[in-house]
Amino acid sequence: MAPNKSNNILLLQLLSGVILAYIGFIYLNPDADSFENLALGTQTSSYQAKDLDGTVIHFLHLDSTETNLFDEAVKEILDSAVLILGNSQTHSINQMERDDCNYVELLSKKLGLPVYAFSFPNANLQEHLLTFNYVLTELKVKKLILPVFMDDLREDGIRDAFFSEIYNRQFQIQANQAICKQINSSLGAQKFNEFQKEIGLPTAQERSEAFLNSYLDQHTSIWPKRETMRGNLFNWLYMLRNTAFGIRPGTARHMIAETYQKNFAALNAILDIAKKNKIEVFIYIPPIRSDVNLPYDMNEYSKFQRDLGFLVNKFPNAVLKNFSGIVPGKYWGYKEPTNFIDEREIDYMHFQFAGHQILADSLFQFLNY
Amino acid sequence: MVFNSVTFVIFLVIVVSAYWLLKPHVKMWMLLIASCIFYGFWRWEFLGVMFVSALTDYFTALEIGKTSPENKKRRNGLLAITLIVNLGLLVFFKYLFFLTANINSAFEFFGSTNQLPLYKVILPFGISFYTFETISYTLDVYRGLIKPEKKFIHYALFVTFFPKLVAGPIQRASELIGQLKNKPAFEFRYILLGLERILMGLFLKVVLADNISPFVDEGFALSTAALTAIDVWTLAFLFGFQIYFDFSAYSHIALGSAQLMGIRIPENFNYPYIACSFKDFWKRWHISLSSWIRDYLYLPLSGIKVVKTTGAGGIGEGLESTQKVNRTRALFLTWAIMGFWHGANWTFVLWGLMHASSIFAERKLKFVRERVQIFRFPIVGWGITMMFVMLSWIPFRADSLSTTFGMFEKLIQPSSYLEIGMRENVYIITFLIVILFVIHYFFSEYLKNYLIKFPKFSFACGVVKYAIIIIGVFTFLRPISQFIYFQF
Repeated sequence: MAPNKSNNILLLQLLSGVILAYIGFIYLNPDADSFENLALGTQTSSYQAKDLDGTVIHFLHLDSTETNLFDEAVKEILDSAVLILGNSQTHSINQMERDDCNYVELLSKKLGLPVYAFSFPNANLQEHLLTFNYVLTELKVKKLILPVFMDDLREDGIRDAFFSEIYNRQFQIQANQAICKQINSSLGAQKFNEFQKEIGLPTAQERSEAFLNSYLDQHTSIWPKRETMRGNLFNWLYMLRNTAFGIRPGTARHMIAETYQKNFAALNAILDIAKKNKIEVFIYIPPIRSDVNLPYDMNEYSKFQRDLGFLVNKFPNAVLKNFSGIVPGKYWGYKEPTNFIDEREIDYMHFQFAGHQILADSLFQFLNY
Repeated sequence: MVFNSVTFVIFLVIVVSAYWLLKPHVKMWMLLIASCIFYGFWRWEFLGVMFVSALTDYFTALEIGKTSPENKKRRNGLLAITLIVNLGLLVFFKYLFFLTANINSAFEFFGSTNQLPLYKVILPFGISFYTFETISYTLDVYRGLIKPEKKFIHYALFVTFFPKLVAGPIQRASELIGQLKNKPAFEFRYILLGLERILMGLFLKVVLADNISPFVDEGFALSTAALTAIDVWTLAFLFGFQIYFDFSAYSHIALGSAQLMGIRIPENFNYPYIACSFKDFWKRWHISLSSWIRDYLYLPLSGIKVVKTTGAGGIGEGLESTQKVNRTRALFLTWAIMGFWHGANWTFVLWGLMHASSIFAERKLKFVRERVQIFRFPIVGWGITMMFVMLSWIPFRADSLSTTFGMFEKLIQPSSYLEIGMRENVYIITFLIVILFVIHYFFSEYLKNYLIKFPKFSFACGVVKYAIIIIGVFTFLRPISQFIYFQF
């Protein structure tokens, strides 16, 4: 508080602050692009695969309002399906041109089987485990295709941005593995939902908040932009960090031991649950740009490959392929810089349409080995 | 209702407008109804619990006031009713599960197969705060420090006044009831200063505390085996700042909301992390609880008779007395209870005892401080206090004693200082927060006074500050988490 500040000056400061904040908000938030596209940058586009009828078969949130997977009519038609889980590599095409599509769509057309995909940026294996279990409650899965990215083994926990429906439904994984219990307890520990859980109904606060937010979303132009603004601010901080510490896409990021183990435990649980449900699992080490130095500590990368091989070998229903070098350097691209100095950066994660074709062909052979 | 929500913003606009527009005798009832609505937005049925506590103290205090001081038996009986009802409610709602679980463990330990049934009871928001307020009111009447309030509306508002209802500051009846009776006339500065405080509080909560929270949660979710000593220190500092931002945010919003209505609530924080001693820390952190604990627990346990109400002032003010009895025992007992007040877990008791030990050590080592030159530099005291206070947050945040000790064990393993086990961002953020906190303190305390000499520049700085705060609050305002102190 500023007791000695005159009222007029304080009023003028507050009003000027409001005006400056409004200008700042508009300037920092030029368009209401989604956070996912913001993270991908303008050189890479998000693409959701469709089947021959043009129906979307590829989902970026685990949300029944978005997917048709859980419709009774669809479930009746589907005797068995191929499920693909992935991260942004699955739903992104670098330098996308008209009529380009991703490997999910290509593979779906080649296989002639119902294919469904879920992909979330930087998805970790705990999130894949949750998705897999959730989908299994609704759909009979015959084959599971699962890329295991070394980068994503640094990611931990379940993000409510992609799993809001899971939180709202208070879904719990029905399995005994310790990692499943950990995930269940993290879902239950969502702080704001604790009361809902105890009461069984939303509180007056939650109802009014949902109503007011929905009203403001519909009746104002600035309120719905807040999510993008949050993304913009975090992106700016991320770039500031990278600039300050000289972090580039090629900078080796070390494994976090505990998170690494948790993700491997999640993979173990996926394989175990798949085995019980007689589901074949096709695991692959995904393509990475290999004409430049890899952004990994090579000892850790070797260990990751060994650990993965060792785990998959324990399960007769699972096979592993290394696709890390299948997409040549020319099919990769650049992305906008993630710092304030460079003009562009190598994109290690997202390749062009040609890369998707190569991956689809490789997966097709893999599934029919 | 939570402060960090659109619902509260609208609620506040309506209540404050009505407050200034309504006639004096109506506005008090409006505030009481508004406070009940505020509380009821969480759960209506727990309003009953609050009113049981409030009504018990209202009537017992009136009866104590009517009873002559010589009739000690009746006065003590009335006081006992208050204590039994209030502490009974607190024990039932807050400690029942903990107590029965511990009794069952004791049965098991002694080889008995008897087990008490375990009941998980929902903890009503704010029960620890409003029961302390009602107890202090009756005790002050009992001690003859204040007269019992006859008008129910004033008393009921003292208990339920919504800005401080759920997480304090813990107020004394003498501080609030007088202001409610005086009914201040409208002044525009109330609105300006109130808004300024609320914006600051929302910024601390929704921009800082809520965005630090995922890093803290992720760190404390790791097994202790995976943590290194550097991780433990980092988590201690990070949580220390999270809880500071979170709780001081609540106090800012509480003070600001009351300020909008011309009502003054005492400060609860005063840059606690620049304290140069443990005693100093507790004059700066959760000031209303520290002074409550001193006046109603520590002083009676130390055999010191309170003859004058002290309000929310710091420790050491407002006493006129007297006889001293085993201060060390009183110190440790007080702190153990204070820890226990925070939550039904032994980790909180450990937290309290760590602070008791630090104050005890500070007292006993006073001669060292006075004789050794280096200890006279404030920065040395600050460094020691800061490190210890931050470490004490480990039991406060950890889920169990074994986790706490597992984390402390890392601190004494030299090899554990050679590696890190969490994301790089956690260390960067922690480092930046500490640096920015120190810069902010020096700016507020020293540079700001210097900048006043350059009014245009000072004005521009203020505008930029408000713009940043407003953008931050607008962008991040969403009730994604409760305030940490709601659980207490």
